[in-house]
Amino acid sequence: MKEKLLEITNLKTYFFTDTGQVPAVNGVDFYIHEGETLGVVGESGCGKSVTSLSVMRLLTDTPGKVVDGSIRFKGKDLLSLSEKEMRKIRGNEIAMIFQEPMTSLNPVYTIGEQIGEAVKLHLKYNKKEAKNHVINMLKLVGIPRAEEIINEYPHQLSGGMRQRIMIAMAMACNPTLLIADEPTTALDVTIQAQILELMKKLKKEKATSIMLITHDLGVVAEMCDRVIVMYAGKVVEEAEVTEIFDNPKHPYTKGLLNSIPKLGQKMDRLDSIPGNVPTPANMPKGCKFAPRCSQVMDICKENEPDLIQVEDGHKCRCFLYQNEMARVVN
Amino acid sequence: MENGTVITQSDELIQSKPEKVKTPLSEFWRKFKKQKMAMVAATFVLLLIIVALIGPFIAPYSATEPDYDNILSPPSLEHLAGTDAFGRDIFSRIIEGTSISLYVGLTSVFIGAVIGTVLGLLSGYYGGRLDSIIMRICDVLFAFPGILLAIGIIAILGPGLENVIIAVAVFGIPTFARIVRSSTLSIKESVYVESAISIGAPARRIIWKHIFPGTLSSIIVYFTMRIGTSILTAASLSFLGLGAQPPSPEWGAMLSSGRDFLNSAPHVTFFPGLAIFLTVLAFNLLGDGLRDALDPKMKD
Repeated sequence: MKEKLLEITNLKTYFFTDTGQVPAVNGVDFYIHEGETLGVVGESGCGKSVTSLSVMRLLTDTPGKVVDGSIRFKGKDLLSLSEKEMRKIRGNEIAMIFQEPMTSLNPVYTIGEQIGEAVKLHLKYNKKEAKNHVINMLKLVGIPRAEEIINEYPHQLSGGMRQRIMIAMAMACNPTLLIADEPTTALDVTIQAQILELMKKLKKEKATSIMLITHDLGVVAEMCDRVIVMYAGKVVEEAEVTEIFDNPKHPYTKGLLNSIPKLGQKMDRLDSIPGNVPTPANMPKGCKFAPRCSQVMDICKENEPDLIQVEDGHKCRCFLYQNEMARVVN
Repeated sequence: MENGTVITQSDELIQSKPEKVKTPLSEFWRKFKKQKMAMVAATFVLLLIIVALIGPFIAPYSATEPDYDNILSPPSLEHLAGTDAFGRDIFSRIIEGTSISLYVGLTSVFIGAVIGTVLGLLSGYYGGRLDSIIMRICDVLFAFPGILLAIGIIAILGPGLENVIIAVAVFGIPTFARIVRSSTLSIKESVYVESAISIGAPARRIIWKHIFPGTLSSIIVYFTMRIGTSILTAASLSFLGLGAQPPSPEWGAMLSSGRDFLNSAPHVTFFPGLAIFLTVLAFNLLGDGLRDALDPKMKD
């Protein structure tokens, strides 16, 4: 049995706004094993990014606040750590790659200074050691002319190069968990493939666990070991990656998979899931997905289903299977 | 690979020619020198600085020694700007007064800018109660008309040039605090600050290394504009007898001493007034030019 590196239980992150509290993450449970890549999938606004920000405790500047639940990392509860203890974890043990490589680097510092910052903060290297380390990191992420690039500014580099720099920055202190928040969304397709290839390579070499947040199921198929599907602040399905693609259970997951165009299949129109993610201010009463679900039943509009185990290692939050399971148990 | 290096080297050779390199400073200079008014203003300010430094050596007459043979004589070739009620050469007095005005303008704005910037950074970064306290104090200071506030401070501290500097500095603090706070608020939201937090950088480092440089361009612009206003306020205080004391050749004090002869000898007030006007105008135009050159959104 592998060790659980990160375990999140019943995480609730609410945003307190003038118009009332908004549950962005509403009772999320999941875990990541050591060396595992977990894909977190869902539409915009389903709480993927807020979950990752909660883990890093980066919500302090927003009206958002973790109101309940626990986040255990290597057995420590991150929510109870002091800000100082948390700083030692950020960048050193848990690192993050952001979505926008064009704005994630500070325009007034050179590449070397920015990657060196994390190195100096956590590894306590002197100037020369730090510089060598930075050059090695740049070479590792496949940046040519590393010795010259360290003296260049972010605006002199392309988007793909900057994302490599961000990865070098995140990996500089050899973190055990890397949170990648849509790392390839802002890049064009050929660069996307290179960046994913790079992340895979680094994962293999450094045995880093990755929490990969994405809405691109192609990226999930390429990268992940296990997947959780989120909808309206909750996990609706969780399974091994092959299981998700071969045997999706939740109607929402099925809808997502159906909306991917398939090669060699002539289609006039892509399938889509009708409607939008409900706004947190007017959540439906029962199952949050009920208004858009093709297999909706009466019970769905009244009660909310639990996340139940439907097969070994495969969990789903839907009444379709709840009844099935009940029958099996009886 | 061999080929690649050759190309980069030749690229660098081309880039090393000065006109090809695009550093932030050269970009700024390219935009700045296009603005004729600002260039004229900058030249004038440079001239003022030189005059302030070497004033006593180039002034044709003594600025403080009376000459009772030449009382209130109008401008002539001998006395370019005429003489005042004590027969002192007004042109020489203006030259020597330059250093006083620049000294008061620069130091008072500098003190105000430093304190205001620190308060603005703290207020914008930490927010919450600290922000409320700092901003409410600023609101109180804003509620006073500037000159009245300065008079109030002088009334407490007593007249004199040093106290004028303090008074004018206090009056500059809230504006700097507000400007810096608002840029801090927007920079704090940027992804690169979030990314700096996510690598575990402490707050002090984030404020100074990641937020402060971004606020610098607005500080520089306001700093320059503010110098003009400060010189004006300092001159007003001296005019009222609260600042530089006679026989100091401070421009405001000179205006004040000439006001009794406004009808018979207008040159006594006209020339110091002109000096104040041109200096303040030059700093304001320079500030405008700097703003246009430093604003990344202003494209050529």
